[in-house]
Amino acid sequence: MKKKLSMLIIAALMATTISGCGGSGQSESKSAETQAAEKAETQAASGEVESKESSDAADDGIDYSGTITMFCGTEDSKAFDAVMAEYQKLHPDVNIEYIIWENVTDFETMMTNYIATDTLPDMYRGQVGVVQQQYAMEGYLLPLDDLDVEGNLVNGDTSLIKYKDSLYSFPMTIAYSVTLCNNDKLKELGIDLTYDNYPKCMDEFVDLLQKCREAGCEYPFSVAGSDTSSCTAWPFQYIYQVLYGGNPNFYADVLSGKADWADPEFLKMFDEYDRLREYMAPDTAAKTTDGQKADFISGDTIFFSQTASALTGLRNLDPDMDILMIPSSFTEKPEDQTLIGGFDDGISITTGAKNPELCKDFLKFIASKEGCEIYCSNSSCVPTVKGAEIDSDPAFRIILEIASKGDLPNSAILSRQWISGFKELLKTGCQNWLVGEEPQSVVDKISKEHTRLMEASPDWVQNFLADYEYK
Amino acid sequence: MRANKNNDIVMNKRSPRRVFSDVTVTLIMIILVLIILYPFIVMLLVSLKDAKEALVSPNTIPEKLHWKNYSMAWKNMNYLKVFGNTVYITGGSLAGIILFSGICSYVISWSKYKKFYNCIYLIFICGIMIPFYTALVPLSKLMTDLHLNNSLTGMIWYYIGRNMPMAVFLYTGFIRSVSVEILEAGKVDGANIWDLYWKIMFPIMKPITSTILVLDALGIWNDYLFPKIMLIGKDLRTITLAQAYFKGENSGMMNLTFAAYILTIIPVVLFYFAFQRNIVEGVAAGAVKG
Amino acid sequence: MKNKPDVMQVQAKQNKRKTAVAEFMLVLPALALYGVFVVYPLFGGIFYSLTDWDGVRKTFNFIGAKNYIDIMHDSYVLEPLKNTFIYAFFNTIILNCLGLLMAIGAESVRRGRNVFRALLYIPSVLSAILVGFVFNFIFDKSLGALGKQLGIEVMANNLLGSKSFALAMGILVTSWKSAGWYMVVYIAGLHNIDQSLYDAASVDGVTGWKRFCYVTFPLLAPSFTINMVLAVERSFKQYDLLYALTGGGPGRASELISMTIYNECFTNKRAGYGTALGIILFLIIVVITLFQMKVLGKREENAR
Repeated sequence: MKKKLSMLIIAALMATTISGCGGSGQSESKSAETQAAEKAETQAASGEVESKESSDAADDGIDYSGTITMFCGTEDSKAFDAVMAEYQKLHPDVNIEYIIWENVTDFETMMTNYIATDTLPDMYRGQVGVVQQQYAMEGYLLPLDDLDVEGNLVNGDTSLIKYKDSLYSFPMTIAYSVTLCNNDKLKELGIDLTYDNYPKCMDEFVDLLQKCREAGCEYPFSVAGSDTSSCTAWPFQYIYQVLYGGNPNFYADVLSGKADWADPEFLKMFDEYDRLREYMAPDTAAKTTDGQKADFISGDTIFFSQTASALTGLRNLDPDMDILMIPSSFTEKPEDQTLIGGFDDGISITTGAKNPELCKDFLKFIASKEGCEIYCSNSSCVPTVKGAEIDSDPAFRIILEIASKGDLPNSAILSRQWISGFKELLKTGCQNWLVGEEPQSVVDKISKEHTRLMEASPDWVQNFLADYEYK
Repeated sequence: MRANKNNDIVMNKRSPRRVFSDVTVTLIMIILVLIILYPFIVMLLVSLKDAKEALVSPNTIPEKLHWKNYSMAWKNMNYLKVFGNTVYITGGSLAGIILFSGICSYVISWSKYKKFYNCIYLIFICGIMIPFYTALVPLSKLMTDLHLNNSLTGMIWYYIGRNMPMAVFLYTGFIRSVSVEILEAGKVDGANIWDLYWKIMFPIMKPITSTILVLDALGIWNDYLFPKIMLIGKDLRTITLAQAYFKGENSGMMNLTFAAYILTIIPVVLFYFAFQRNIVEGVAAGAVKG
Repeated sequence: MKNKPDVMQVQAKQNKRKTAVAEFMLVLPALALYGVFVVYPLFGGIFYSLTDWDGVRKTFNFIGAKNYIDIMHDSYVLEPLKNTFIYAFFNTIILNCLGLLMAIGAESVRRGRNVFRALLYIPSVLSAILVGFVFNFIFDKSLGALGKQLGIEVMANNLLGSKSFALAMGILVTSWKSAGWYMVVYIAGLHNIDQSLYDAASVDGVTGWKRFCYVTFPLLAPSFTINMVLAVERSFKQYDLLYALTGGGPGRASELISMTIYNECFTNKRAGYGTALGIILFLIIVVITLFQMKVLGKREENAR
């Protein structure tokens, strides 16, 4: 009896050996069966075929099938689902599956993991700032030049989505980094923000906060201290508006040793952040993004700094709330104010894609006017493709007016290239500051840790400075 | 049981004082249990609210009981698949561990080549203390090179290897304390090592087998970091991965997240209640004899 | 006539060889799996710790012991190391005391012994990730509300956001989760104490607290040893719980060395450095465990 049991166990193990070791068990993307059968009816497909400014129709007669693995953020999957639903009308055998990253650090960490274990997802949508150039340089991304989609893009700074003149990433949205406002609460307090009277510098913003407090909202400004992205959102906005406003080559100077994070320009940031501190709730240090959303929706807080994509999450919880976005206003003088926006997130195809042709075709579809319109309508974002028109979420009204009239100069791309790990150390610094550490001590630590990172990756520093174009 | 008898004896001798301290002890225990159970109660309450209420007023009794949160969580999490994956990995690993470490320890303890097998024993012991992080990167590289990454079966082989030292340690300790005469009877009948082991030794080793099963089952079932690094595909997820990803994928929906958590807790708790006795005995045998 | 014994001798030798080989075959799978998945990565780790590999690039340079020297001076890693020691120290004490209390309590109640024991053990079977996230929520909302009512400011503002309390809360949550396990081990130890010893003690008039000190506790020595050793070892290996609870924050107040290693290897792209840190962690664990076993082992012997 026991012998039978042991035989059974051994048999089971052997069976798993044979089945398991046979392959790397990729359950995601099945092997592509690309049938070259020309289907006349798909080419003549009526209203579904998009007419783009540049060249080819989306469907070139090849019948694609398979599953695409998309590595994207929490709120992107809904938009991709909508685009895929449309794409499936042309290619019914195509599916999409998601791996979700929760924040930027998660994205980078998991990508490192995938690279090390050779299990890159087919495509991803992520911030182009830190790692895009590096991935392109090391050959983990497919160049997208043969898709001929670059011409679809509206004007914008493409330096981070291209590497050595090849396109590696297609940005779906123009990302704006703004101050989000709970306009319902503002109206309740008797404050009316319009295109003509939004705050244009730091003093005006602080005045606005004070007005809110006097009208009854104790802590109108919110920061989610425990979350990397939220905790560093305001600092990054300050860096783009003020630090780079004063010296557009700030980071290059830091890397080459001419400037330092412990310099007074950066130290001033914490002094300015301090002016906002009294308007932040006392439990800011441990607040999560969920907590921040809760506070915002219930009206306990009114303003927070973040990229416009935060809108999607808020709409999930309250589709009817009057949310308003205004440009960041943290400069000293009103005439220095900028609108921080640009190509922040992009979609790329990795060299680990099981079916690169399918991925390329899908990307081409997304990059078309129609695809872009579907995507942006489902994610409350501003489209990047020329001629794409969507009913923007009313929250964008002021921003879009400014953008179309060209009132404010554009602060170049949001997430510039930073050394790996920079966001983490800035988050740590901000958290230390939030719990009461002295600003000088905080910037000294940031400077030290940044030097540490620089010494660990001298090649990266060298490459950055070699490719950098001084402005 | 013995302590109980002791209490009874003493109780009859000093009734009033004993009753007082009895009540105190029971009260303290009840308070402890309430503290232990508090998070479960919170989870239950929040899981029955709707999204906005869960976020804005989590501490109250829900206005309406949204049982559909559970079915949504079940669907979003792909519960059956995830559960099946975890059962497969845990079950397969446990089978392998018991099988391989058992016979290995048996040979180590009773082979004539004492010196040689003692060396092997020491080699095993050294591995008990290696933390997972020490070899994080080379391990992931190794798994990739062996094509065991992104596969449930690959995980099984890893878990067997990883839990081998502790299992060998426990088994060997136990076997050495058993007297050799037991085997003599079997040997006289001319049985070989294999039969001797399964027919005579293995039944005796039941307590230690329970220990190993309990310790390792929990460890493998609840492992997070290794599956996170190794299992990428969405339908290869284990329960802990599902728990971790669910929160991110359903951001802001605390009610769904907690409903999902409760769904994952229920089978484990049921299993525990069913096998409570074995588990306690198992831990006891291993801890005291080891 | 003379051949027969020779043949038998040869056959005996062959049989002996066969059994020896068969024996080794039985050991081989265990040894092989262990070697491949535990020993090989360890040596791989030692190798990479002597390089400057970043985990992603295909090339790296051999830099000898530079990583180790850097670690000695690097305050960046010394802080989480300090946190881990504090965490291990307090965890061991609290878990053992709590476990012992719970064990004695569970054994002393007249009725419902099994129920108490079962309920107190349940948190141990949960996954650390789940516990971390749930307590993150509780500290924010439930205890936050409680703090507001009681007027305790630091509690109202979420204890996990306070630099001084974040690690302490991590310790408490670990206790909540694992105390049940230690309780079970102590219960087993209590059961193993021979009743006759209790009887002898009560005859001598040694009861209550004195009995605990002189009879119960010394005889619990084996359970005590196991629990102490395991508590320390597990504290050093902890990652999931604190990651889900605080993520290492605020700042790095509750960051454990395991998180630092993971971050260095995967986020900061310094695989060589991170692995060197891992090797050092391993050595620390070995030293502490051996020391503990020596000290506590002696105690066990004395108890006998």
